[in-house]
Amino acid sequence: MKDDNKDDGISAAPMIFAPKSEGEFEKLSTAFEASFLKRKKSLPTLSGETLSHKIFDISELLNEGAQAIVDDTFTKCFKSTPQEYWNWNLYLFPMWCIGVPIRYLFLFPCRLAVLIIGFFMFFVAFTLVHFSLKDGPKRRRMERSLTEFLCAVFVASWTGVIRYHGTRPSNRMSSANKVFVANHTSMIDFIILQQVCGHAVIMQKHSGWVGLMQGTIMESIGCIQFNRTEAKDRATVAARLKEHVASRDKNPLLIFPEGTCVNNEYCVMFKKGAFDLGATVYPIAIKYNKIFVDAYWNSKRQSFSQHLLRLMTSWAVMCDVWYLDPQDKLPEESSAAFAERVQKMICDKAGIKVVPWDGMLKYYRPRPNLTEKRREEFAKNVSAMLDESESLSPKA
Amino acid sequence: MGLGMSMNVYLTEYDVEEVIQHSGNKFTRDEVASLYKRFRELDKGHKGYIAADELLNVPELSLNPLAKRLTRVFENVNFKEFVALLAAFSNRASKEDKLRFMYMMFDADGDGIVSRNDLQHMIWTLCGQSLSETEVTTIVERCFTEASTDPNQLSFESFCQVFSEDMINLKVKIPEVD
Repeated sequence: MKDDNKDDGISAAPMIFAPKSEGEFEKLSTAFEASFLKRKKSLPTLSGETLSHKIFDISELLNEGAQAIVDDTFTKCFKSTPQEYWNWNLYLFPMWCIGVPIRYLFLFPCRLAVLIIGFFMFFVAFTLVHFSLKDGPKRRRMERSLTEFLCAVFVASWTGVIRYHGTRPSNRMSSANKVFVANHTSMIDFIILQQVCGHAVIMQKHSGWVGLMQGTIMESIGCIQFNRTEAKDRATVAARLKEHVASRDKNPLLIFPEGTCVNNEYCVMFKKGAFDLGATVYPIAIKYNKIFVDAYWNSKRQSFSQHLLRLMTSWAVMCDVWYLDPQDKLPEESSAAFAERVQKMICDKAGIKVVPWDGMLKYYRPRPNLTEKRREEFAKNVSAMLDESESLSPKA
Repeated sequence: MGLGMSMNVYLTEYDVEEVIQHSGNKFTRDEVASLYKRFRELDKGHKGYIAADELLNVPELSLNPLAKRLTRVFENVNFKEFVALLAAFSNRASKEDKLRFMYMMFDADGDGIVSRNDLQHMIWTLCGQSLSETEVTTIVERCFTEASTDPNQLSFESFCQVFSEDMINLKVKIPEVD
């Protein structure tokens, strides 16, 4: 109960969590349902038809159902792009054969060396800074520069060819009332953005070496971590979000409002958490070029290390990043509408398709009451037809 | 990364022919290949059939008022039957094929004939809990007087009569294979 009260006060963060309790589930579902119903056209209303025709003609629903069975837009969002085989050809095959040893035996060791040396340098410098300086703006600035350096090392380790467009954010600007939002494909999104400007990010806690880094380095630059399955984390994060946006001397906040990695072809519903904070939203659109490697991280299928390994053995990771014009919530706009507007900006720029699905549907099924609502609508139509004919029949 | 061969299991020439024939030549080879890919995607663990749960995990389907009914038809069938079921949605299917499929959807108990019970069942499925018992009975009554000559069952012929004038627009877009 206590938890619930807190949430009502700060309705910002809840949307980034998978549902745990009934209440959470309710909230998540309601947001998704609202957006779904708005986009989905209601059951067709046939005018001037007989009642029997209306009941018997279920073709629209059948089409919708069959389409979902044959090819649905939700599954598509999380599908890795299949490898296209370009090398099955007499000319190209030898080229490919030469490429493999270069990539695996030359590029990969070089990159690994860069990564290890970079890590080592970072580690030494970071420890020095962390323990020799007192906590203050100076130390924080240096730590931030060091993380930016580390991210640059990471980007170099997969030969990231990244084109940044638009006005880049600067470390010198105040962090107050700013939220950066971007579409999400992989954890490397974060690395790519981080090398430009230290951001504080809201992220799922990971285990293993990633978790270790989160706990030490990322914590120091003000990142906020949570565990999807931990209900009590939620309130804490919500409070920290508010606090972060209010303060002037922190790193600007970066949120991935989709809440999950999508394959960079589609964009799932933006959760309104980031748009509820009353801060100016700075949209960032990220589009990967899949010519050498698909940057989508299918976290259900591979660990982050495997994902990195795949990137490090490819020729290059090519990517465009657009920093778009900052947006403010319009006076009459709801946060959901604001989220949608920003999502559209990002998707138009990156050339990805918007689908109405909540990414969390990976973890739960939509509630039956959404179907129930569609039924009610149909029922209303039918009973209207009944009433109509009843009022007509005495005359006839 | 691998050599230029896909690990996908392909249907053999012979299989494709058989599947197409079984569906009444309603699909092209490419369409069957595409459907096969989808079938194997949905069929987790490659059992050879799609379980009801796997179908309902597709959110777009689970939101459909007819989801349960459709699932009952499409669950646990092998690929050949799966394609045959979808044949009604092909643009090569005749009006009668399409009507047959729709009629079959109404026939909840699967006895080949749509009874009052079947129709009542479908009305609940379409309208949910918001209609009263009497309203549903009235609707069943109305549908039967409008459409059927027999007060107890609706024959396929009478069912077709309802749609005598219009096109039956059953269709599905099969994704292209790459």
